[in-house]
Amino acid sequence: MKMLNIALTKGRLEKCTIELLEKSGIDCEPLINKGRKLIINLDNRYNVVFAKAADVVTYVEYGVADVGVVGKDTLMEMNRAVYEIMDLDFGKCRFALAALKDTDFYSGYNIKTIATKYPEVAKQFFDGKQMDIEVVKIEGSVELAPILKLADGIVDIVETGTTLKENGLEVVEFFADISARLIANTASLKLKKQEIEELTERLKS
Amino acid sequence: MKRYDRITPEGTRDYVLKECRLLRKADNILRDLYQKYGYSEVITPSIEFYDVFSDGVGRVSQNELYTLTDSNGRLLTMRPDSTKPIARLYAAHLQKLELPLKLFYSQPVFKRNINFYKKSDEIMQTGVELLGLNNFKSDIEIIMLSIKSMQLLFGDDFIIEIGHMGFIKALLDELDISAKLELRHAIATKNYPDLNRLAALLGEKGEILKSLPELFGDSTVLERAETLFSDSRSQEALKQLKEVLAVLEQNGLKDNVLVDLAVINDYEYYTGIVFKGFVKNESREILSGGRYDTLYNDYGLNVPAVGFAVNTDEAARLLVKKQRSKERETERVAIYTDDPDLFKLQQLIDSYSAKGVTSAISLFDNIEDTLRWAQKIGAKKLVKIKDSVVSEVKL
Repeated sequence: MKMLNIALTKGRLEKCTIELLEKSGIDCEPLINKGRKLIINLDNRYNVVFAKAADVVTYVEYGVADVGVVGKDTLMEMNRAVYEIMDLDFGKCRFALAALKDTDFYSGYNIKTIATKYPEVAKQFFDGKQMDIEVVKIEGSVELAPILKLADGIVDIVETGTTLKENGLEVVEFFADISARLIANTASLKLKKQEIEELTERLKS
Repeated sequence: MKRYDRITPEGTRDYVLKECRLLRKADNILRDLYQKYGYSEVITPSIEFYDVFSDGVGRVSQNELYTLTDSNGRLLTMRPDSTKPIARLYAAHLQKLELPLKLFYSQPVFKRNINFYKKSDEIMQTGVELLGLNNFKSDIEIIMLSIKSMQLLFGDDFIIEIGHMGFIKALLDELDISAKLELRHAIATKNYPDLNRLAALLGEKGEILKSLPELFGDSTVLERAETLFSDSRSQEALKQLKEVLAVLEQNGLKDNVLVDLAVINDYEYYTGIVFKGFVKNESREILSGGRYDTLYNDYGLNVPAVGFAVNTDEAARLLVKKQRSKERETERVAIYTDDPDLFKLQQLIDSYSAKGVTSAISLFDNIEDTLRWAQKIGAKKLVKIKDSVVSEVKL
C-alpha cells in the first residue's frame, strides 16, 4: 500500500472530520493531541496536514496532498481542477442571498451592491439571472454591510439563519446546498486508485 | 502611473536557456516524427476573425478569447486552438486535395484561464490532424503517433488515458443544453455529489451515469462497462475501445495505458475516441486529442477528422524538472583571436561544429577578460590565435 497524503480543513469542519475518521475505524488519537506537529501520521498509512480551507484545495490541486476534506462553498468560490469524489454529509448549510427584512431586493432600477466573502459565487449566481451587480468583498461579518448601507444584499452561507434574524436580515433566496466534500488530485485518483477507493469505502460504512 | 515595462502579462512568460532549449528540442523531435510519417506542416495566422469561433460545435466561450479589432472595426481573436482554424483553412483552400489529408502544426494558442491560475494563457502546441477518414486504422495511426510522441519525449515514463465520447453522448442526447453542460462538467471533474443529484433527472439512465466516472483503470473496466451499457452507441464505443486496446497490448504498452470512460476534453467537438497523455505522477496533461467527426459540419462539409496536440511548454517544464541534474549541455569552446577579421574563423568553427561542439568567439580585446568570460560561460577550453599561431588552454 502506498502512503496517502491527506489535507484537512481547520476550524468549522475539523471536529466532524475527526469524528468521521474515528467512526470509520481510524485511530485519530495523534490528530487530537497533535501538539505542534504539522504532519501527523495515522496507522502508518495516512499523512495528515491541517490547513485553511482554500489551502486544502490548492494542496490537492497541485498534488502535494492526494485527497482533502473541504467545504463545497470554498470549492465553488475557487473553481479549481480537482475531482470532487464524495459528499461527506456534514458541515451542512446553504448559500443564500439575503437582504434587510421587509425590503424588496429586486425593486428599483439601480445596480445592486452585494457584500460577500464569496465574490465568485455571487457573480456566478447573478450571471445566471443575467443581472449586473457590484460586488464588495468583505472578510468579516457580512451581515453588517446592509445595515451600514454599504450593500443592498449579501451572499453568504447560512446554517440556521439565526445570525441573519438577529441582525434584521432575511433570506431572499437559497441557491446551493453546501456540505463537506472529499476531493482528490486528478493524477492521484488514478495512480493511488486502490488506496483512495479503500478510504472512500471506509468513510461510506 | 504604474509602468508595466518589465513584466509579461499574466499567463505568459519568457523562455530562456535550458527551458527554451528543451522547448525547441521537444518541438523539433515532434516535427521530425510527424514529417517522417508523411504529415505536412501548415501555419495559420495568430489572429482570426471572431466568427470562426463564435458558433457551432467548435464554439469557444467569449470569456476565454483574447479579442481585438481590425482597422475596419471587425472583431478579431487570437487563435484559442489550431483545430478550428485548420478546418477553416481546409474549407477555404484545400477542398480539392485528395483525402485523407495528413497535416501537422507547431504554433502557440491563446486562451484566457480565468479560474485555473498558474495555467498558461499562451500555450505552445505541436499537433497533428488527420482529415477525411473515420475508420479503425486512422484512429490507430493517431494514437500510435501520440504514443510515439510521449515515448520520444519521456521514454517509458508516460500514461495514455483513453476514453470514448460514445458513452456520454448516448446518455446526454436527450437533455437540454444547460443540463448537458452541467453534466459534462460533473463527469469530467468526477463530481459524484453533483452527479447523484443530476442522475435523478435521468431516471433509469441516471444509474448508469452515476457509475461512469468510476469506470477508469486497466482494461477490466471495459468488462464492467459491458454489463452496464446496453444501447447500440455504447456497444459500438466499447467495441472500438477494445480493438484499440488489443493493438496497444500487442505492442507491449499495457502498463502505459489507462482506460477512463469519463475522459472529457476541453472541447465540445469530440465525437469518438478521446485520449490524454500524462507523465507518470504528474497531474497536468501533456497531450490531448481525439476524434471529431462533426466539426467540419460548421462549414457545411462532411469531413471526419481525428488529431491531437502536445503542449510543448508543459513538456519542457517536465523535462527541465526531470533532467535538472542529468542533462549534459553541449560542449563549448571559446575562441580568441588578435585579428579582428572574424570571417577567418569559419573553418575552425565548422570543424568544431562537425564534432558537435559549439564555439563562442571572444569579442574582448585582451586575454584576461577573455579567460574570465570563458570560464563563466562554461567553456571546456580556450583556443587562442596569435599572429596566426593556434594554441589551446584547458579550462
